[in-house]
Amino acid sequence: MATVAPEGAPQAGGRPGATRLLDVANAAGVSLRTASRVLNEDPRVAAVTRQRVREAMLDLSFQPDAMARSLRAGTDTAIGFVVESIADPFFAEVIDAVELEMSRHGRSVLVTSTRRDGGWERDVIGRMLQRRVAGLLLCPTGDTHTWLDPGRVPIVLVDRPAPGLAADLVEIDDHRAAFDAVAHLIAHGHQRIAYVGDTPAIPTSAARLRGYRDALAHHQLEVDEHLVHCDGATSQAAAHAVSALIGGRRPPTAILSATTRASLGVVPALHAARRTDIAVVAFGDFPMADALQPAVTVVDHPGHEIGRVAAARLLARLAQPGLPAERIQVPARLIERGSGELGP
Amino acid sequence: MTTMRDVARVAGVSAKTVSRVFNDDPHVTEETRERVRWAMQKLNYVPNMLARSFRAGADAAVGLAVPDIGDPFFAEMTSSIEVDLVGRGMAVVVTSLGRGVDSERSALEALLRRQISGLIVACVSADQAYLAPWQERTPMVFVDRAPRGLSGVYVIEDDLGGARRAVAHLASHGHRRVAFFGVSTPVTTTHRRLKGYRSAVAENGLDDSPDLVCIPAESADEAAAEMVKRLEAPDAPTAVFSSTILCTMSLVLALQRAGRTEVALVGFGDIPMAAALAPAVTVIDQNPAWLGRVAVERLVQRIEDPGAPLRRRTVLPVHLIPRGSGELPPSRPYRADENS
Repeated sequence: MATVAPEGAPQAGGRPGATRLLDVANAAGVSLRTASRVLNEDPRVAAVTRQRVREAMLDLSFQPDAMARSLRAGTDTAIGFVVESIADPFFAEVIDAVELEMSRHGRSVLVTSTRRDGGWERDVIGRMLQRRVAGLLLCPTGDTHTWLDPGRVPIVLVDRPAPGLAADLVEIDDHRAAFDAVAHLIAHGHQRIAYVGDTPAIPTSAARLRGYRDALAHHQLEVDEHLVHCDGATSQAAAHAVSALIGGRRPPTAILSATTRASLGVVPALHAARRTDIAVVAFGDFPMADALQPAVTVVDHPGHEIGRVAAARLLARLAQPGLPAERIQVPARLIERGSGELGP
Repeated sequence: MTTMRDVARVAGVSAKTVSRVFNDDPHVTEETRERVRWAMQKLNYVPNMLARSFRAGADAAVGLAVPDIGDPFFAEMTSSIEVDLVGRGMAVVVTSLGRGVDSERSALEALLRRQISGLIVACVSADQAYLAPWQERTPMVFVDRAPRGLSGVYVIEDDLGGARRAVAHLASHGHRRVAFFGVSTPVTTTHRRLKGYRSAVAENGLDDSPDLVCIPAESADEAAAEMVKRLEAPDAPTAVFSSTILCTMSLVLALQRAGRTEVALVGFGDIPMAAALAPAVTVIDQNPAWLGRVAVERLVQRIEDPGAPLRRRTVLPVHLIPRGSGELPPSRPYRADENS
């Protein structure tokens, strides 16, 4: 039962019993119009008056309409994006594209990260859903996602599958891209090719490592396990891996750096050791890669395109919730810049 | 002070697991629970009531709004804020402000509507007066840029001092014609850096021709192309002070492509690969991770005790890292026909 407002008195939030703008105006000793001007930050109101009205608003716990509306529960236009790490250059690119695409459709994007902790992932997704996001883009971390219900909120997976979750997936063919990168180095005469990357517990890293091994096998080259470093989760760790590789008894003549974070360690480490004669193909482009000497050849992990396609897919799903789950592959291409074309 | 993260490290579990133990989550095994309790005792850890109340309620997230997550400076600051807050048992929700004129207000209000416990924001627009009613209900800390049209708590870096230091450094290597390079923006950091540049020009008796201030465009790439053209003029500057990270990245690339790496350069803010480039890039280092940590500290103080008096303004020092490009001597006047 709503209380009846006095005639001609517009209510702030339309909530029964709430402080009305008229109450504020009366308390401040100004007209309703002046109070409304203060609310709308009209510059024509004198500073003293503005102050008096603001104080009255606070005294009476007045809630401007926008806030009142927002504090009521309800799904709105924002979508959530859960990534592994916000600061990673690859995800920064994906986020940028998602924001661009969503802003074109009048939607905002809230980003949060799992920090590679399956328990934390579950927690942050819970908080996102509590905040009533309209849909979710997810780059999954945990081992299982059976607890997540795509019927409750539209979900599009980004970059990697989520075990136990039948949802749309936008990805690249990691195996193929790594295979091609290694084949490129072999074509330039390399036989001792090192791998520096992340743990194969991550599906994309596992696929890249398989691509590396398969390319060597395809060219009748043996994998020297001393040249395989899967401990390069951080740039520092990848830099250490490079020191170990070039300090070893039989150093490599080329390196496949399998993640952007690894490359941010591998490339400076080679420069610091003055070993830029070692060929490099980096998985994922990174800032300044083309300003270095030699410029760094990369497998372009197209974060922008992945973000754009994933956002478009989520928008399609929001418009048409019944769409069947799809697996969409975005092409990744090799950009020759110099470091990957060096001979042994 | 012992943090939840310290407990986690000693117990050999994640911070999340520690927070679960605090909250008597039944999903933690007795053995893990015991290990966490042992670590807490060993470290004399007192659970932070704030973090506990966060965990228990819906107000478990802090909002963070930055101009552009792809900017290496904000990426590092974001990462440090996240690590810090996650260590305190809180989640972070991030949004960027960089798209369109009205985007700051609508993006921030979208964030504030979500009952966040606090907000850390690096603003992009020229006026933040619209945040006044929100600030009454949500604790806020402004980072990197002071708010305008609004009184608030902010943590910034010494833009003016850093710019002065950079230009004085170039002057000490014999440069008399030093350009200021930037993009046109309402953002206050650029204006303070320009002020610092002007002080140093006056203090060191450098050429103060107005056309040495080069702010030719809004996008860093376009501005860099214009800057390179400017370097071909007969009265070209012999050194450049570049005022932002994105500007420096674009300019380094443009100088390399134009074969103009003899031009001396100091950038404000460290750039990726700076040490591996030839010449390696001299910068004023800002320490974005530190900025993030201080902002979190201020915000937590604000959340825990909203009424307590709090210093409004915190300015963090910056320092110069000489790597090569800022120590180049002035080259003789460039002539475009030399290379042909």
